[in-house]
Amino acid sequence: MANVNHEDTFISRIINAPQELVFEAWTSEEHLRHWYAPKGCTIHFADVDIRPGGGFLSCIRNPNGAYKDCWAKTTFLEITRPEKIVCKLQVADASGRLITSREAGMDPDWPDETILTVTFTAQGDKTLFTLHQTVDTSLAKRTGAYPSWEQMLDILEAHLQPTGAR
Amino acid sequence: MEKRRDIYQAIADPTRREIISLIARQSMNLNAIADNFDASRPAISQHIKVLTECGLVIIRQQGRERYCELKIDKLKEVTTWVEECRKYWNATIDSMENYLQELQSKNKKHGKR
Repeated sequence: MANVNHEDTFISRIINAPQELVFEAWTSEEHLRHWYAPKGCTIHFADVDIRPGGGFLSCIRNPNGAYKDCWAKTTFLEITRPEKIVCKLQVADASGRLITSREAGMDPDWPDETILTVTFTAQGDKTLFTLHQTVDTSLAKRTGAYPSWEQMLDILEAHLQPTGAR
Repeated sequence: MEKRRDIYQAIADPTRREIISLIARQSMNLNAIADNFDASRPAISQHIKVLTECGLVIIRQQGRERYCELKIDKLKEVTTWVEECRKYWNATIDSMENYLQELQSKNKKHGKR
């Protein structure tokens, strides 16, 4: 099996804005307040301290939706202006205490802790944006030994793939 | 009333994971499965019961034999959150793009660079 984690999320997109501005949008509270949530949701920030080692507590509210408020603690592991940000995202409660996704009333299969890496590469006056989110160990914790979990997914993969396709 | 179990309970146990691996390739009857383990037959039965309760295994009666068959699709649910995650981030990045568009057109209007 490739070394890519099964739980990883990869997204890349060309953003119609200069690199410096996209980077700013990710690292300034003033900007983040305006967009850091899916459409139809509102975002609320607390304890904002954007620098390596710092972070913030955020709450995504979905006023018309069925979801409950979703509190998360973000810790910046790396901020390299203007091309890269690495942060740790953890499920939290309103006071910033770390809790499990189950305690938060989320799907228990939602990982308690993930690492998010976003990069910005200038392409003229546009920006190539990439996002990579990886599961830390929560899945492994819940499912016992990680290797067995991987084996299981191998079996699953073998079943789901047409023979001979690799 | 059928008990609903969380699929993670099913795969959190090493014996149950081994049972899944065993029947992933072919359906097997209960005795054949139990022969692969040191645990007692009732203990293995209990594990299989858990697997059926969360929909990972279905038991088919064939003559006098009861065959355990793995529902592989159910195992796929374990990875569905990845999709959820993708949806979430895509919606969030859409929101960023909209915001940056507005911001830039506002700046142009005000003659800012």
